[in-house]
Amino acid sequence: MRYLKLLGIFYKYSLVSELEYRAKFLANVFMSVFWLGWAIVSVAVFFLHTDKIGDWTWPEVLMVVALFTFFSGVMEALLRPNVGAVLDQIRDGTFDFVLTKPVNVQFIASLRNIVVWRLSDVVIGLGLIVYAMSQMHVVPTLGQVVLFVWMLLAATAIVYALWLMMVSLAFWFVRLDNFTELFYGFYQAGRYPVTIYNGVVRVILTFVVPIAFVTTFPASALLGRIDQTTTIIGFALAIGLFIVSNRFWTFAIKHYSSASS
Amino acid sequence: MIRKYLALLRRSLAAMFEYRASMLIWMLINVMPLVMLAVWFSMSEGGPIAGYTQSDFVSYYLLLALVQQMTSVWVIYELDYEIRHGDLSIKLLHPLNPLHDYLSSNLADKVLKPVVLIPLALGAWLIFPTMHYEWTPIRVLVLVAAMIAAWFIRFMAQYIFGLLAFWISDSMTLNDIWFALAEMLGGMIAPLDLFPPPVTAVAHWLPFRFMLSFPVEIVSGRLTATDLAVGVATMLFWVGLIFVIYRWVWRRGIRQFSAFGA
Repeated sequence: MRYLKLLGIFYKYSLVSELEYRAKFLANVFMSVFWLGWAIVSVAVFFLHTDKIGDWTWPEVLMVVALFTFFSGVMEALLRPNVGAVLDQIRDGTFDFVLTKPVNVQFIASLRNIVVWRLSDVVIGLGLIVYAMSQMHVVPTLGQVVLFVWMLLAATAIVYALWLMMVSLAFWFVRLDNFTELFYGFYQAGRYPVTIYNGVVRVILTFVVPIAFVTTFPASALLGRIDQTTTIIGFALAIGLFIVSNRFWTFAIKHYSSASS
Repeated sequence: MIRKYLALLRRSLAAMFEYRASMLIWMLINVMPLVMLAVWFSMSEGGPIAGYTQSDFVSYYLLLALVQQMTSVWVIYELDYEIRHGDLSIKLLHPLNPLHDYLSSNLADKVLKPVVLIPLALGAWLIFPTMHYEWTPIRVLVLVAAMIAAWFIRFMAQYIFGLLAFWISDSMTLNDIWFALAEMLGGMIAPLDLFPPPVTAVAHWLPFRFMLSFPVEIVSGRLTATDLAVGVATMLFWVGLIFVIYRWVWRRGIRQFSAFGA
């Protein structure tokens, strides 16, 4: 509870300071819409030549695009800003102050910063999900919604764990853009349902860099086309990655030897 | 001038050699052609799409990946940093236009890359022996010229966006939009033939085609001699225009810069 309250204070503070730059805010909303349009066109090209890709119809693929946009927003708003902050703190030696705060270090280091306007991608993603559902004229059952939220939580945990592992690397490397960009390279593949990839590529995207659990499977959950095994694997993967990333973070912190003094 | 370049190039090569590991990682990052290939590959399993067979897609995207590697550009990040931190002022004191400095550092990358790319290309050939290109001597010559032109257009466009940092703070965002349009209309998401005919027709005249897709088209066996000639003429037009725009922006930018630099 105390942690939620802390987050509330941090985020309110960020919001207030960002509201000072309203023109920038508008420009960024424009960019979100631009990128959404770009993502939609990049899928629409395929539907000029076929009516299904990887067994997914047009509105169904839109759901995957929506989740792709949603998690881009989550990563850009909540996760990436903290990677930059930790890097700076380690370099300047101010990470000492983070360590001495009377709260969990992983919590404050990985969630302290937020770029509020990037949440526009989250909102747009949710809007696109609603639009795609209305295009299909289906109302999801309660069971499907529950499964969807379940898979969404698992996806959030997976994304968080992957970024936490990247932050942890900051204790050894001066720059991390190599790693974050490599991750984004894989993430790009999540714009399409994982079923269109064959063989090795699909295995990599499902189990090695589990982007399939971030964009494809939550969409299949809401469409009622997910099987039980996948939901269980997703949950296990989320918990497993969360624990591994936490261990790795603890290990990395031990490696830290202040830059000051 | 050539001696100056050799000196600059030697210096940049030495610097680049220090960071060879990170260069390799940056090459791995450009997986976009491979992602798009994977998608089109599985889509064309049931039969050709608009005349493109599976092996056509392989030929198209693997050469596209090579062109992308050999035309990669990142000058805006250097330029943006140096304008904001005032490092550019020092370069302005040198008796050489800073453009050459940035160009040579990019060229060093292009000199080193074939060391990795040639073995990769041979490997790809072994895996996909059905890859096929129209290797006539003239087309290969034009291909090389078109790759240089593609690199030049990419570089100058990004340089111009970088120079806009003299006036505005969002030059990076403009560059992002330009890059997104280039991916869409330059043949990355799909070969340009696969767009609706009106879009294809417009895309043929836009600069984006000459930043990526045109070199591949030259040897794809889909361009007639007339198409080729028209394409080369359009390419030369964009090369010339972008250079003129650069000159204009540079002259005005320098005046702007010294105005608040002092």
